[in-house]
Amino acid sequence: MTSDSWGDVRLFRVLRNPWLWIVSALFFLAGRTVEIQLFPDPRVVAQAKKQYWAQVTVSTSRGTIFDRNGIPLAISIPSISFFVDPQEWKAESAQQLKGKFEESTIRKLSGPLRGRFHWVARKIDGIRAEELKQLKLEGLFTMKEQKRVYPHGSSLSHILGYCDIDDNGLSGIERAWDRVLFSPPQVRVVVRTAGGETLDLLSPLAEITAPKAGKVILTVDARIQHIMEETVEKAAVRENVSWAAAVCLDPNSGAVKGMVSWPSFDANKRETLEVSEAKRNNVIGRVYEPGSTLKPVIMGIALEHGYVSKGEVFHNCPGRIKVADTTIREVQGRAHGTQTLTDVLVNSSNVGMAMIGMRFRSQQMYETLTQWGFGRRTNIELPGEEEGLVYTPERWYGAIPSNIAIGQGVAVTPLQLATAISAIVNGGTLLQPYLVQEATDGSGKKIYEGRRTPRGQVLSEETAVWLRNAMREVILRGTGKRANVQGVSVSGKTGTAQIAEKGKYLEHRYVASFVGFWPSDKPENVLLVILGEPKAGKDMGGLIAAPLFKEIVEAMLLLDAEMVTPISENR
Amino acid sequence: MAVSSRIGGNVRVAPFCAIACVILGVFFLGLGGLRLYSLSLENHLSQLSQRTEKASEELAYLQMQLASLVSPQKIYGTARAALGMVPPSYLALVRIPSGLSSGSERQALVTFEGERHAQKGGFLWGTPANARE
Repeated sequence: MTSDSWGDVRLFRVLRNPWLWIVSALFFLAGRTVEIQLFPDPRVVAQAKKQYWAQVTVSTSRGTIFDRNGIPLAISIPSISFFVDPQEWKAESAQQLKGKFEESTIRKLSGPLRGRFHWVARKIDGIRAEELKQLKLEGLFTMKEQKRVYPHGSSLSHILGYCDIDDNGLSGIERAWDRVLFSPPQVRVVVRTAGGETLDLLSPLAEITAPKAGKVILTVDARIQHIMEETVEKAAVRENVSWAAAVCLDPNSGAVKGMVSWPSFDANKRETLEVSEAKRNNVIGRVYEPGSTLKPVIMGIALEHGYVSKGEVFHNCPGRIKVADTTIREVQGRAHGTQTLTDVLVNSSNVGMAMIGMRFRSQQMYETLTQWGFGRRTNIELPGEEEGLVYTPERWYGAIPSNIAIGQGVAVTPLQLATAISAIVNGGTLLQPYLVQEATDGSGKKIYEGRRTPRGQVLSEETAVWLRNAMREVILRGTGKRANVQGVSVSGKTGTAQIAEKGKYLEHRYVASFVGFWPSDKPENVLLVILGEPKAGKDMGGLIAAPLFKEIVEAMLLLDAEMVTPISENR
Repeated sequence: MAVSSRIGGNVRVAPFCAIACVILGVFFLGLGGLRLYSLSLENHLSQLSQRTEKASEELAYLQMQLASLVSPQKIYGTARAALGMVPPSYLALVRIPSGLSSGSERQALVTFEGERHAQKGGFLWGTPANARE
């Protein structure tokens, strides 16, 4: 036999061996096992997901908002949400949830449900969630989410704003800084364990890979804010007002130290959001005629443009003056007689200011008011800011210029007025107010820093000093005596403005306000307080707004001993 | 040349088959072992992640509690309700001259001014003369 023949015989014998085929089959099966384990058919995966898993979009932790001292003002905490799997849910179980959820939810759960996933309730607090868990209803499952909470309740509500159920910012800083605070929702894959509980499969990994939310630090001091809120609320209730507002600024930088709007809401209690008037931030979202609190600004403009000089004397000022078809009156018709320019401010003389108003050149005056920031947004970092209203020059006819001179016929936001008064206080520079001190992204990188931003020089230093001194006189011998504070010298101006409706000023409907600053020699604070439509009997700014201002200043002084004038230097 | 060997009586097993069987056995055992090990790791990981999650939850709750406790509302409320704090009717600041070097001299000045103003229900600070500069 040739060697080829022997080879054929050996191959034939090997192929006839049954073990070869058995081993080969085993190797094939092992290979397929590995293949199926590692690379399953997509149809199988999809089917498995349909049967056992649910993919749900859930909210994640939003960034924290802090005050200037590092006190957290808005944070996210874990909360429990409930859902049902209709394939396991028994409609009759819905009766056990009666009284725990709204009737509409019970009705929905009592009927047939499609699919594999339906929310029952989201972001429930700990005790109530535990009660629901204890019911151990078949087909009712839990899932962890993040809930936005405001630890200080209604405090700073208009500044902070609020979010929707999916943690998208809807108002205030929450909305304006949503790009920094918002962390994208995660898709979580849930699976049921052998014990029947839901297991969140992706969350540990997702927490690591998901982009983290940034943080926002405000210029607001929570202590000052609390003092302002508490005092304004007390006054608002006492004077039975329709609305109230207060804003405290650092006149040298434009930083907002406190901002109060009343009525208020508590974003932790969603039902308080149903009152639309409570949601309005009166400091930036309400325009009103400022009345006499605008007089220092008007007088500053008049001095700068030469409509009046500092040494001018107004002789025999009557209790009323006819301007075009309108009569402008002093408060209670009282004639002030001969007045210096300072006296006009000290007495808050409408007649004196109306006389100055008659000298206005409308185009120049309109442009200057616009330069002072009236009729345009301050661009503070908050949504919903109003522009205010300054008539265009072609409408400055008849009594309008004199009306504007007494602070009527022009509509401003409280923030615009406080910003304008800050310009007088800081030597004539109009600054952009800002509320955010710093914002950092998720990686800790600073992406924004609030800083002093001048918008223009609106007043000379000399005129500013004169106005500051005149405003000090208002406190010492004028309409603002009730704002005088022991321990620190304050300066300011009262305001009692009439409210216009359908082109007519209404009787007995006023806005009482006071704007002031302290310490007078080196001002560090400007505070404007406004009480809208007081109905408890008193309605003059000097009677109800000035004491409110005083109360706030006294409480704020306790926070900062350096602000108090030492006994030896007391004037 | 022998290509197979006898096992017991009549069955002849080729040596490569025996080796292959052993290899397959080891393979399946290894596969099973790895699966068990991965399950154990998965369990461990799950426990760790649960602990981490629980700790983060606790941290978040503590942060919220802390935020509520440092809230001026809470502090002012406690000071008034529990400690009887009332706003002072009179505020005064005593500037201590920098010449007063000894502590007792400073204290004496503060006490003197304090007594002088205490009748007015005073709230008195003592601060160094250069504090403002």
